[in-house]
Amino acid sequence: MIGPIFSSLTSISTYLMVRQIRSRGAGLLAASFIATIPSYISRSVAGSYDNEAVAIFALTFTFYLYLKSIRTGSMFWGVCASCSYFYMVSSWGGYTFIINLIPIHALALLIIDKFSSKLYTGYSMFIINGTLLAMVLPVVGFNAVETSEHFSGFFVLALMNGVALVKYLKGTLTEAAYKKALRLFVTTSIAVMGVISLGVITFAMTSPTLRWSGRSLSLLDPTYASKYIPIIASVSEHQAPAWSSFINDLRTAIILMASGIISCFRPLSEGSLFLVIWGVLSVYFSAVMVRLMLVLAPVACCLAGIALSDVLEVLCRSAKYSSDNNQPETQKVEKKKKGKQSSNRRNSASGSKYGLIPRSLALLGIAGIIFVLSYHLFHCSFLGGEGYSSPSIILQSRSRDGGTYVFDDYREGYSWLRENTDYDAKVASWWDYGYQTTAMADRTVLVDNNTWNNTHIATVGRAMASPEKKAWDQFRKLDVDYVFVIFGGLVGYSSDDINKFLWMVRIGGGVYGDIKERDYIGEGYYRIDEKASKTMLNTLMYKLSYYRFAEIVGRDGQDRVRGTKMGNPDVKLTYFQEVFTSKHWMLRIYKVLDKPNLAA
Amino acid sequence: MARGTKGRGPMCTMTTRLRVWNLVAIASVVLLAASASASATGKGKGKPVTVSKLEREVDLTSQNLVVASTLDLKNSGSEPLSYFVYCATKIVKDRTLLWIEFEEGDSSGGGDSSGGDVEKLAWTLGDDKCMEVKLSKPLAKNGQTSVEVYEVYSMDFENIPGEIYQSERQMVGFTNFDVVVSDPSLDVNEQTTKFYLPSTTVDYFTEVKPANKVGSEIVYGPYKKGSNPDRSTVTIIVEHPEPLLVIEKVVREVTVSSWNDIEVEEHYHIRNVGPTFKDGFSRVEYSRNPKAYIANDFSLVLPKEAHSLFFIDVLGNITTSNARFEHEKVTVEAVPRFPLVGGWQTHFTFGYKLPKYSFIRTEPKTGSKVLSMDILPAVQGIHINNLTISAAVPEFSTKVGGGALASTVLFTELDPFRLVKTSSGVKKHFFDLFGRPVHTLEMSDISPELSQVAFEFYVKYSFNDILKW
Repeated sequence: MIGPIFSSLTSISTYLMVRQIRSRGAGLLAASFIATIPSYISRSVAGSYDNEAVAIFALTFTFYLYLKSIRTGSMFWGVCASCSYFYMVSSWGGYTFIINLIPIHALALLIIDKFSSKLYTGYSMFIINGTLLAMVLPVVGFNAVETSEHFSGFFVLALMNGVALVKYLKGTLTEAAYKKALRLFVTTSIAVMGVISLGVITFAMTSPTLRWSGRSLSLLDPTYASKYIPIIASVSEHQAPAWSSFINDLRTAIILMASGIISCFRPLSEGSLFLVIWGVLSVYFSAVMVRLMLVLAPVACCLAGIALSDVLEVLCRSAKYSSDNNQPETQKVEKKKKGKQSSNRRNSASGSKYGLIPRSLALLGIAGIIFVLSYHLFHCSFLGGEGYSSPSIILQSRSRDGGTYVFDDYREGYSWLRENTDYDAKVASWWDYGYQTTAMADRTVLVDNNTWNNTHIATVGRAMASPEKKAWDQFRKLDVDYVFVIFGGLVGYSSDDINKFLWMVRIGGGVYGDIKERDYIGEGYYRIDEKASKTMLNTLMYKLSYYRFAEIVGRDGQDRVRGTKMGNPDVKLTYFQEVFTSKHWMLRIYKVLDKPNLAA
Repeated sequence: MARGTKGRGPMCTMTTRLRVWNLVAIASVVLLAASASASATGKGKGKPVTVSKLEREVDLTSQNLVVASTLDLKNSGSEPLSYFVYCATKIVKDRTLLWIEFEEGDSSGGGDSSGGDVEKLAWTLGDDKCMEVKLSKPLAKNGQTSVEVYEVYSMDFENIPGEIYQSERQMVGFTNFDVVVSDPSLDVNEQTTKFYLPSTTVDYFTEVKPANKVGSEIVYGPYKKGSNPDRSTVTIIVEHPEPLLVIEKVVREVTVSSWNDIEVEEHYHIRNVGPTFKDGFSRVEYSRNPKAYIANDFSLVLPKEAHSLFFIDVLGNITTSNARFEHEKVTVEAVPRFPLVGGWQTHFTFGYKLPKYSFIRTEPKTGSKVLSMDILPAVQGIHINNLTISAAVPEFSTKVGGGALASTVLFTELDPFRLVKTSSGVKKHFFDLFGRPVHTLEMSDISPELSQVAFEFYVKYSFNDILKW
């Protein structure tokens, strides 16, 4: 239930934010976009829980409160914003996005010379209180002031103080004195700031713990993770998304987003500038890491709402006032303009005489928009229902007569482990299945999805990438009773362990020197066919996956995921014994033998 | 035994239920009186009854050991014979008696009891667990009659060997069975024992001459009185093609709602006690040669009114099952998450709802309500080690009581062959203030053959309909 509750809160806070930035209509459109966008639905489906469902609400609400505080200049809203920020920090590691985006926005406001005492109040309230609150949390602690991810806020705060001083001096001094003072101030402050920031940067960069964290660095340099931290790069959510996933997850919003950015510039307020910066940055981030599509989704909705409301405004006005006779129409617009101005609604297009189009065209445009929006809604509910509402461990396929066929192999295997192994048995598998095994099979696992320390993950990666005898020695040392692998070759389930094997080698090799990636590459690729390397065909992973597989598909049979023949169809196991294979071979469980079975 | 009650019609269901209810009321009175009189007159320690011919048919094909014997009784004494003593546990040793029934057929019919003039015999249980069976009418001097005894015992197959390869046959050993009845209370002149085996593949059987194997049957005997064979206990090692399943425990939770439904939830723990596999379970082998002794599905039979079925375990919905709504019953083919091979076990929950009107009736005199349901769970044909059935009646019900509705001493709390326990408690359900009264019946060792006898669990309670909110 938490997902739907928070997603409704998100759409309310989105409405509040966009209403404040632009208009009520734009706010409503933005809220309806965020309510239907598949990217966010994927995290907030009823029946599942993802902390990102909470985090996106906290994100939008923090931004709303912050924008409110710098618009009103009220300390109260600034403190509210920092409290909301505190909630965000406690819910999701993505809070660094806020603590960097807000200073960037403030810096941009300084650069375009929009400094005001309201900005100063709101910003300083937010940064100082927010940082203090964040330090309360044990996970963040002193990182909030010591790591470089958080420095930008302090830097901008210092700069803002300088600007404030300059502004104050400008008010008090004469013209000539002011110029001198300014020159003096700027040079000294640049020198001082330069020295300090140089010192801080070198200190932070040299000390190993205070550097930018791996995930943040891989955002700045998309190739960073694959070079240095394979465990981050291996997570599919950290990969760069395919183009189609932008269209798929954001649909109309991503198309309207560009025009939304343009319409934010007319006129440019601090709020719309914020949306522009947020939009541009998150497009970049989501292009680096598919998971951050989630940060893009709210801003895409806001911008799309603004764009669509502008378009609709023009169309509706045209439909109402436009006619073949131009004379009375201009008068009406004139009247309307006055009315609008007195109501003090910040609406870029409402006052303009321009942009009236013939009524028929306008009606056509409205009809078109209604069509596009209903198509969008249809797509989103379809995707939400089909793509994101089913659990990822139960796969479905449609049979030709319209029925569904269920691949329930994961639960079959976990249920077998739960029922027919010792309660104290220890199970080793790739780390993706760690929490699943603990929860569903109720057995102790060697590695789980915790990534604070990746040595244990590397240990399993190394064993899987080792020949059978070596792997057996390692598993025996670790007191492992059962090993299971996910194998999709029979039914074409592509996220199986052979496809993840690249990462096992890389993560294993990252910690243990005896695993070298180039040994596993045959003719330039990871492959399991005839051209595969010898080392590859000897690995435990290969053997456990393809053990007796040839007896089902034949010696020349194909692996349906890779679409190739097997490099070595005759797999013999000496140190492991097959104990269970699920119906579609997706989960294969092996027992680590006490002593090698030399007869086989 | 009332064979053929399995496919009873909708009208018939109600009538049998009512009939059984009345029968029990009578039977319990009769039983009490009879046992009192038996103990008062002292045990019939007289001379043994002459059995001119004893024919036994031992069925090894099902989950339990079913023995059907025909005793041709002859009164060789001088006084009329009104009863005889039958010691089931002495004749079949070391096995738990699950059910026994005596029928007297027409003596001129030659032991064929399928005729119309067959009468069930009342019996009482002595201190030594022997049955004192009262004949329908006293047997005159030199008179003859034929009595059929239908017995069900627990099965104790032994896996020989205990570990096999998946490609091998499943062999079971049946041991420690006396083919020569030597009971001091029966004077047997001639006897035959015939075994029905689960398959024709027999590895070994003890030769007690004359012994004959034809197809899937082995006939021991006839043995004449006085021709004492040197040994009488036999061992048979035979292939068993069926899975050897046991329900370790089944908990049936019946919740009577204040409204229209009765919810039934059955929690199963089923184990395959067959031989384990030496080298693990291989899917290749299974797809190539799916052995029948690997249990791949359970068949469930529900009352025809059943609806809202579900089949779950701790991991959620089990997606593989098939229900057929037929005219007289609902049959479900429930496929567990994985095939059960020897040594493996599984837990699951099966649930359904029933309409109240066909299972609860109001006693016109007292106004109290009676819920009566089958004791046996929906999974058919598997021996049950422990069964718990509990009924939660609506909140604020009073005078709650109940138990098993059985026509003999078996399955009542006086049953010496098994543990039968009733208890009551309180169960909190959604939105309950104080909890609902629960009446629980626990039993051990129940045979699937009992689905053929009307065998019910009843709970009586008073409930004011004004409280139906």
